[in-house]
Amino acid sequence: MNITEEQLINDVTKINLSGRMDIEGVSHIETKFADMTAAPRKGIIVDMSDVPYMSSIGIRALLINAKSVAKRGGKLILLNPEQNVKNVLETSGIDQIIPIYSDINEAIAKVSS
Amino acid sequence: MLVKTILSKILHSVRSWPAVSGLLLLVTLHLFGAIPYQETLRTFSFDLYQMAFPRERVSAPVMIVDIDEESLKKYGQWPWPRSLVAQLLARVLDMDPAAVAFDIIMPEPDRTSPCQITKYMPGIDQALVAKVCALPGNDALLAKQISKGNVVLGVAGIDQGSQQEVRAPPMQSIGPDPKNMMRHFNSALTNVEELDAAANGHAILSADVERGVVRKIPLTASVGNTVLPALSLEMLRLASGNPSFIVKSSDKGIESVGVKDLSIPTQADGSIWVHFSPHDPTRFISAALILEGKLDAEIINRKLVLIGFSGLGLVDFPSTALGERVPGVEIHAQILESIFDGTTLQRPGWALWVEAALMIVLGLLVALAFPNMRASLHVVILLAVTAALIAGGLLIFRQYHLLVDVASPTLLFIVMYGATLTDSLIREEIQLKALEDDLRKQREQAAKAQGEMEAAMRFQMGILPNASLTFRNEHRVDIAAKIEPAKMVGGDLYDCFMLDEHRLFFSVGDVCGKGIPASLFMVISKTLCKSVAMQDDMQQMDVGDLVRKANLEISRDNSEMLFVTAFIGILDLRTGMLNYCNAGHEKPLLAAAGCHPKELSGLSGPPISTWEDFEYKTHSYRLSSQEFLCIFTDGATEAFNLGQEEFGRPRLIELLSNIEMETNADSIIKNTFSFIHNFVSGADPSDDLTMMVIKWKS
Repeated sequence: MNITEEQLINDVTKINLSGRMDIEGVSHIETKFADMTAAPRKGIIVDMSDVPYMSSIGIRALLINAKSVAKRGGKLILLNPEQNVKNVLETSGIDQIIPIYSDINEAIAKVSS
Repeated sequence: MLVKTILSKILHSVRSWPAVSGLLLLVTLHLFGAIPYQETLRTFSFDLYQMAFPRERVSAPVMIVDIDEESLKKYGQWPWPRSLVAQLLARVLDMDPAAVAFDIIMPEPDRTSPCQITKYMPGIDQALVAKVCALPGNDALLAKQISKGNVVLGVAGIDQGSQQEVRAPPMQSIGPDPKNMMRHFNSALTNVEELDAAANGHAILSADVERGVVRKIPLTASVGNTVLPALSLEMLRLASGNPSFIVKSSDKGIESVGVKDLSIPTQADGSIWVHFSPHDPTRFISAALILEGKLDAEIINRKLVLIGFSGLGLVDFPSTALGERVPGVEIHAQILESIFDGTTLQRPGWALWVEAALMIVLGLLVALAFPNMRASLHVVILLAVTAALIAGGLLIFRQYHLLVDVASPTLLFIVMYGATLTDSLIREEIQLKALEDDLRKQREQAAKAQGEMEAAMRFQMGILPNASLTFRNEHRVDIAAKIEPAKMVGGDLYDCFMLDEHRLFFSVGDVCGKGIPASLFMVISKTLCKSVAMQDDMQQMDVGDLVRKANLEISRDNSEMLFVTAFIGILDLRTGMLNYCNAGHEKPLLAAAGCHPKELSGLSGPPISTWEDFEYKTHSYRLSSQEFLCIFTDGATEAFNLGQEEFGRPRLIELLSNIEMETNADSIIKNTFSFIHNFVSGADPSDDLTMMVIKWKS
């Protein structure tokens, strides 16, 4: 897996994930992922458009970071997951605690507020 | 700085200490000449130099008058009457040689002298005796000839016997008294006084023969208190008309010998290494030829003439360094030739130190540098160094006529390399043994861990109820459940028990992850869920509230951020009303004979332990008495075969659409499991596989 970040307006950080989020993939990015969501960042958008597969370990990685951001009063949301990844997220009810957006502006507005 | 680094490197290489101290000991022994058999190895290597590059015979200053087989045949057996020898010498002297030397010792008077012969004739007329005895004796005849020219007579040194004085030419000594530095003999085998007194030159003939090979000849030696020159040196003295020979010495020993205008460098004991050329018959002239007067005078004119034997039975044939057996007299000729051509050999004093330095450098190379190099490089260096040493030794011999022993450093290098190689092989063997022991221990530990894992699995499976057995007597419901862990212990769970007389509680869950952490989390989750469900105040609470409360409990100490997806339901056995909560779990299927399976689609929230204060929704569904509620984990849908093909939800739906009217919960599970087993056919299960099937029978 690969992970990159970019700074958007309003102190929003966009993290781009690419590759399969299984045990092996997650092990490559989990440290960097945690660094990128660390304090003082509060508004984080995780771009999922390049993730073709999501396992329970992938869900766990998203949850760990979402929770740590939420604890500081920040927000972490997901952007544009592929349909089958979206299905996994919806089936497991993760979308109810980590919101999913398909529009970047809407996403920025959500995490900036 | 560099010195410091090298020193610390040396100090740290403790492993090399035995090798380094052994090396220093060897070098010390080398300097004192105390290494056993080193001298043999050294002389053998010097012989090899001579064989590779024998001396080329440039000038021919020496002729040997040879009392050979031919001469013996013509003039009778040896010893010849000295009158005949006198005749021979007279002929030689007539041809005006530069000097003549006898490689023959004549210690007793000639018994064939006329007066002597009369003693063997009993009854001989005394008048005749007086007449015969008035004739000159043979020794007198020879002495007369000897006194006429530059003739050298030799003596043979004898180690035993009482001290004896011999005639010798005067020695001119430069430097400290060389007498104690040279080869010493107590006494000598000398010629009869009559001859000795007549001779102008006196020399020592002795050469030390090592196991039949002549390598070194003393150019000067002492007999008693007298210092004598070697035959060759004495001939040169007479030929050059010098009254004395010169011995030059220093504190370290004799440096050179010679006569005026000629200095021959020697070893400290006054000897020289003979530089041999191959045996050459043109050096020899038969004595018979001279006695018959058939020799061209030019051949001997102004030459150095040696008179000696080659007749078989008369003389030993020592070997030269080239491995040839030659008459002893030829060795004197060869010495004279090499002195003339300036190609005498010398083993310089510094050679020993150069050899010691080479030993130290090569020894340290093996002891300190080799351990850090690749083995393939060792071979290259070994060959290159050996070749360079041999080539260097040969080059110095050929160009400068110096004898430097490269065999000793080379042998030390190879032997030390062999020793370190053996040492490292032994160490590797010990290491291998230790590794084998480690492996054995690891296997034992693994077997122990395996045993513990099996015990853990038995415990984990033990806390799961046997659904069919538990509800055997409850005719309102048909229920079955089964787990197959992917590893020895698993993260899937299920539970089922009666909350009260009419209400059945059941759950199926899947912990994120596999192995021991997941299984521990599974045990905690199952226990907490059940304890929450069994609390008194939960009797009237709906299932969503129950999950919310269990979620709070389970989330509390979850540093590893594990979570569990769960389907939890309470079925009222009176009405078939199912209240359920789906916390992020795979949607269960409702199957009935003759119908396409449908999903139980209600979602209540994320997996348990993901969000502490999540409000889980309760969903309801009324089961018909024909429906089988099939709850499973993703071990079923995400089972992979060897071709990495996923079993998938559509296959499961397809399978459940074909159930028969007469079937029961237990057979549906058995059928489904066997179908999945067939599909994966031998591939390792990727996840725990769990299924629970419930049918309300009204």
